[in-house]
Amino acid sequence: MAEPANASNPDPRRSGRAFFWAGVFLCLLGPTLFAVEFALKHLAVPWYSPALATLAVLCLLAAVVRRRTVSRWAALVFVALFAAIQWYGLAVIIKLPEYKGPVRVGKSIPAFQGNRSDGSAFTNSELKGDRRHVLVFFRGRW
Amino acid sequence: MTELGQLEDQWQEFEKRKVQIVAISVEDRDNARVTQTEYPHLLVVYDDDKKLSETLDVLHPNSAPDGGDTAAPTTILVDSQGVVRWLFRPDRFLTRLQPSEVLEAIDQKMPRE
Repeated sequence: MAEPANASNPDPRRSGRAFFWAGVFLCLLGPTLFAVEFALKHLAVPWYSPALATLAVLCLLAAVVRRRTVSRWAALVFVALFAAIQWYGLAVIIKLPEYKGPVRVGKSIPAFQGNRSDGSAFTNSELKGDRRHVLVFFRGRW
Repeated sequence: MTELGQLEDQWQEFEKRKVQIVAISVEDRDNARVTQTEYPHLLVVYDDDKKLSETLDVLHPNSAPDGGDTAAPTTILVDSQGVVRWLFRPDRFLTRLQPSEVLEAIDQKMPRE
């Protein structure tokens, strides 16, 4: 009588598959969470994204150990690179230099001149009066 | 723009405190006109020759998409005498102050005279 295919003799092709898909999921989770945060207008450094990608690397490594296939190796290499790029980007590329300029708390703001959108000048002398001001230096249209 | 849009949304809170938000960037006049139209309660100031940003040292070198300099996001509170009361620069440019944090800073660092 033929033995039924059951848990005592699992399909070797399925070995580690859960790790593989967990890795793919974790890798995509970081950018997805960041997109949600961005949509909710919360701008902060998404350290969780490279951390999740690193967990994804561990999952994919476990998947490769259980069964070595081209697709698992490819996913491992791709996700490892993705994690490395994210760590480098957040740790190094987006780092701002510490402020060492002439603006000092408790001192008058240095003389400056900019332009309003109608072309008229806007200078530091206009900061004196009945209103207080918040100068916001922004970058990028996002 | 996320940051300016959030500040614009809270304009009544700033008005209550007699505070004017001045949004400054290195964009050109045409872009500044568009920005001013989008955010009518902010005062948009453009600095296309970067002289203002150089004077106050708020440039982030070589960080623009074209490799040039652009603004290092910086927030400065100035009282009605023109005296600086607070300067905030995040350690990474993805970080921005929430409007509630700006309002809190105004109330703490620059109480009404």
